[in-house]
Amino acid sequence: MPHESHPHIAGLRRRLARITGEAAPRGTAAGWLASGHAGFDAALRGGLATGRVHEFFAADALDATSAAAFAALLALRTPGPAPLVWLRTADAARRGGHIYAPGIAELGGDPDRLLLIEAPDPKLLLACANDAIRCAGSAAVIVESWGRWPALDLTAGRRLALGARDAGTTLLMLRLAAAPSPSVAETRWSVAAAPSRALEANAPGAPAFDLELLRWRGGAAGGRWQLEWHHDENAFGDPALSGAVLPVAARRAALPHGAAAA
Amino acid sequence: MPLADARARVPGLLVVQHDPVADAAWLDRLALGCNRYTPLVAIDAPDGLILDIAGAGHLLGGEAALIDDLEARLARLGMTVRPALGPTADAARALARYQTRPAPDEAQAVRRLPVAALELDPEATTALVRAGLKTIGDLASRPMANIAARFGADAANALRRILGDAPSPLDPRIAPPPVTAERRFAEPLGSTAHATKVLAELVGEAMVELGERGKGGRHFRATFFRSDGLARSIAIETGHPTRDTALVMRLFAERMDGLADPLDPGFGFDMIRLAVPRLEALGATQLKLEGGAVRDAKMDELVDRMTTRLGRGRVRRLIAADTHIPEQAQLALPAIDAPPPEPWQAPEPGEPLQRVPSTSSTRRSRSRWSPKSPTVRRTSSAGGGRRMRCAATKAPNASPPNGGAAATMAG
Repeated sequence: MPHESHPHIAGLRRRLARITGEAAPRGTAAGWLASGHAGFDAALRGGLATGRVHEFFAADALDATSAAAFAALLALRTPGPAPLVWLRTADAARRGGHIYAPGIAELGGDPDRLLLIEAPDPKLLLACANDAIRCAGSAAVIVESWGRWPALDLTAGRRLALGARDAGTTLLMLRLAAAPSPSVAETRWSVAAAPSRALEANAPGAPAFDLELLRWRGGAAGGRWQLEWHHDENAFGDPALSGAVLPVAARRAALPHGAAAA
Repeated sequence: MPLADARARVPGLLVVQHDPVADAAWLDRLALGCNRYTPLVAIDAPDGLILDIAGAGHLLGGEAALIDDLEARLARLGMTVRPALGPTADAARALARYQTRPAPDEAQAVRRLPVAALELDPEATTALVRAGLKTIGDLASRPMANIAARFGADAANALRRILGDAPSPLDPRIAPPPVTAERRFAEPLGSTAHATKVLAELVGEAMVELGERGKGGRHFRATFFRSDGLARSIAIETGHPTRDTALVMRLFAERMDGLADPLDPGFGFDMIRLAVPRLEALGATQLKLEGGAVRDAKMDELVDRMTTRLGRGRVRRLIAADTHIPEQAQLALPAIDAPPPEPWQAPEPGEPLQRVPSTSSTRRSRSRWSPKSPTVRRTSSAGGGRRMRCAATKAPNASPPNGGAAATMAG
């Protein structure tokens, strides 16, 4: 059960669940998109819940690739041939670059699982996203949007969340060049590129991510991690220490304290 | 000439009853035979064949050689043919049937043809001749609008086709017989909703026929014929052969919703035709008993719906291309008929490169990959870094793909 800040609220939620006829009370996910990093997964009680909406914001305009890579790697880590549906607008390639399959293969993902869908405008993107999440059988649905997205108001977001929950698909929203705003997402992340440790002969090192948990419906926000992607192990891990770069002390994710207070 | 006259002129004349059906069957067999030259063979009933040999002539050493070969083969079957080459199907046909005077080139030959080559009705031909327009060239020198006004649109169209100004499409003999279903209405249908309902019935009929053949449809084309003579075609396609009426109707509804100018009944539709131009084998399956197939079918349906809504080029899969040029290493192909995925080449873990010290006074040295792959590449010391040959400049018989992009290393 989720840890609520007050028992009254937990009771009210249960009553609401009975009224709206929700089959499963909120917080029980069918599975998780785990990162492979023990500390990260433990802090989120297993990882990013499937059948939910997760939002990824790029901390800076130049961090768009990091945000996209983090979301895609989380989805492509899952074993099996389930496709990863990637929706973007037609101008996304111009703004953020094309999706490069050999690069994904080098990262350890399988590009054959990618299904690219390009919508001509943000309005149609929302309609396509609604269809894509209602189609069970995908590893995840990534919706990449650039800038403000007025069509995605609270109602549209709620519809997406309900659709994802009913079909059991995970929706990863990539909000690039946008500021975080209220939504019904299960978790909201700010992703930035972290300095990677150079390999021998000054070769480029493994990609590193600086993650900040801005919001989490199942617990307290504010966690901050630095993860490095190890493509050989197909998992995220701790970044190796580097002499040149001072590691950012990963703040321990604040443990949920609502239950203890209650 | 009456039979009695013929018998009087040629004693012992062998007389056979005319059998048009047998003639058509024979022509059909000849057309099948002519498939050796080109896949596009059309029958020009009752006694002609039209071969589209664009791009096929060089296989036999040119167009003249192809015609010699064709004549020789048909002569063996006892057929005397009158071949002609033309820039378009209609021009070639007219040259074969009506050419009487020699000409320096094809264009001149067409212009010297008599107006009868247009094959208009006899009154129109007579009118043309009486007007002093005896050849196609005479007619072509007049403004097209005058011809259309004086002799009808048919004459103008026939003239355009024979001169190559309008397309003269071929109806190839070996097109697979598509499944069609159509319905005509005594009273035109005034509402699109009703027309959609009728279309659903037609799809159901087509599916029954497809089921009897053990096939599924990949393309479906509905044509709505309006009573004022206009027609509107709406086509959908699916990623996999299907016999699911509901699925096909969902795709049609999706396409109709997304039309920029909606389907307009005008004064009503008086005929609706459904054609299934592309069939593929589809056995009877029980999806629910084959666990997992249900989920695949859902993803396929998503691809079909998105393709119908957004267009083929907007729903894509990434396919590996066999090249070492990084920006050409992937192809984004329409997901609806992308080839089955092949495993991507994951980068091999690096192997140590050993340096074999040079032994002679020449500045050549050898580099060797690890002993696992005993390839030794001899490289010149004067080389630069990696060199890649551009695919566009690669000669057709160039070295194999690996050799084409072999790295040269400075020694």
